[in-house]
Amino acid sequence: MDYVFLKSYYEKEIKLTNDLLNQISQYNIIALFSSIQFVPHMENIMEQLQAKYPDKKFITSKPSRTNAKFQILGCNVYEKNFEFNGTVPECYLYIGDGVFHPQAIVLSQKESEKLTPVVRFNPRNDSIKIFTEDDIVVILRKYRAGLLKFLNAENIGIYITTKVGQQQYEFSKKIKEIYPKKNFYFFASETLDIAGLEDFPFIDTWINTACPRISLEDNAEFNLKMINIDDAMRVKEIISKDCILTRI
Amino acid sequence: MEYDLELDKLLDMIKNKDYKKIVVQLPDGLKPRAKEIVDYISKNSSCEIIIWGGTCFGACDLPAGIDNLGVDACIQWGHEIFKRTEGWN
Repeated sequence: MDYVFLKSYYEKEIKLTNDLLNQISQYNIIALFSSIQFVPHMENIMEQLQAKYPDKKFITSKPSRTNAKFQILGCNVYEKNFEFNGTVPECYLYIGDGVFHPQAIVLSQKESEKLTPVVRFNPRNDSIKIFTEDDIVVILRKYRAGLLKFLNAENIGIYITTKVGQQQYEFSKKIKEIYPKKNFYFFASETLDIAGLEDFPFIDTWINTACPRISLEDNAEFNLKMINIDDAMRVKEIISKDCILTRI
Repeated sequence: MEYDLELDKLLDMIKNKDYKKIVVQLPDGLKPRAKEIVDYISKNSSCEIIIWGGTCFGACDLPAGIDNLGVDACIQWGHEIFKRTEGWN
């Protein structure tokens, strides 16, 4: 069976508004990103920005797992996913609609000392949204609680999806070497059945390996006490940091 | 419409690869356009089309088990092929 991806590119012309240009005027180094639908417009957008602000620096990268320059994925929620060759952006400018992708940039900064603002420009209605710590405070407080709960948990469930693009079974088994005194139990399904987790009352807390956003937004909404596999492997390092996640 | 569904490209692919049965997988924002896709392909080919009713959060979120339906291809809109890594960090 073949898998085919059609990108559904945005077809209309994008012209940056004066409101947006004024909004970003206070920053000197601005990192640009978009979802795949808007990627073909991004070189032109960079030209518009550079023409308006020739003295400012506009940068981008190709975050982990992406296939195109400027593109961002919903799973880019770790700082290491972004590489700017030593340049530190003062602001992120996201071009596109929706909240899922720009919020990934915000969440990627959870282990930073302070948040670099994320500005979203939606070309469909020329609206601007500025993401701040307020957008992620509940998510991160509940995530931090999950990290702390994991430290003292004895019996831990590791959730694995059978979806081919998200399956991380072999990788997740490495956690047994890091915590030899904890008991790990592996659970699989295609889609996470949130209510179904309660059918296993012997599990103290859960590790997610399917999509990192489950442990962030869904965890906050449904109180799952679920953390991501990468973070479970380095909980002590994370909670000892002075960062947004431990301070918020 | 604001987003290009690339229906002509899909139709060419169906004909060139001789797909007899496909699954159409759409992110939530494009699900209302499923009728447009099915009607166009049905009008211009004899390919059977099944619309995936589950999630479509990204290229990683491919439906498991659709091979049981005997489909030749899963066509996903709105995403791009990605490079898998161990974990996400």
